[in-house]
Amino acid sequence: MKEPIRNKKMQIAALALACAVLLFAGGCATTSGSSSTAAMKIAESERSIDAARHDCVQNASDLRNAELKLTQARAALDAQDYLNAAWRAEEATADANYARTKAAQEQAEQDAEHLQKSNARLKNGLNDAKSY
Amino acid sequence: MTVKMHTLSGYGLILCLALIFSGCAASQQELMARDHLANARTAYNQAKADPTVEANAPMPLMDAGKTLEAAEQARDFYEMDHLAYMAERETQIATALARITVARQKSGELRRENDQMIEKLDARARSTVDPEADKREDRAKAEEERRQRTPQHD
Repeated sequence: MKEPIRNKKMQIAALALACAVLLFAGGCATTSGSSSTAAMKIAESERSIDAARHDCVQNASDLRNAELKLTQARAALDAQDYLNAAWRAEEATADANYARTKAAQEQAEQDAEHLQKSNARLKNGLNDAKSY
Repeated sequence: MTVKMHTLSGYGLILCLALIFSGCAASQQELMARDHLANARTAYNQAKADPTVEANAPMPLMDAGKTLEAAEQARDFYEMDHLAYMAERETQIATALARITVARQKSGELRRENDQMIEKLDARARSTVDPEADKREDRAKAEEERRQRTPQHD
């Protein structure tokens, strides 16, 4: 009679242990982030920074923020602070994307300005031709 | 006994200092997070009030708004700080995207104007070199139109 009770107790203890492990793992995933997510986000930010580096040759200062955040993300990953690593990597990606978009904005505005100047010159040419 | 008391009060002092410093660190984090949140809110409100941003980058602006909302409902000041930073960057990206669209539209209009003026200048240059050239061209055009209007008899 004592044996089945002991078995049942052990089953309950095992179940409790499994629940505890699951809750602990779940807690780690939500509050501390996972190493794979952090590594994935770091890889994404590296790609964004490379792309921005390619596009923002003349405006490298905007990229400094992104590179600094990436360094912080890598350090946090090494320290196994996965949530911090993922957040810093997300910020690095946002910084790189902003640097890239800003460079494209400056280019588009410069193009419009050049065309405006060229049109002004042409208008003058037309007026001169009329006066002949 | 006295030595033990001194040691205990020493530990107590260290504990108090540690608690004070951790409290300071937490409040500094709170100040920083709230500051970032205020900046993000200002940037978002400015972008939202700008009709060119609303018209040319509605989706990125909406995403920035969602991130800002999430920052306002963050679980702690660390998360608030991160989400506020992201919301501000997303707003800046939305604004830059809108400016790109506006600049490209302007360039398109200017390019068309440019082409028309070049055509006019070319025509002027041709008529200066050969004053009869325009008349000949007009005659050729009229002849072509007449031919097209005349029914074909096979």
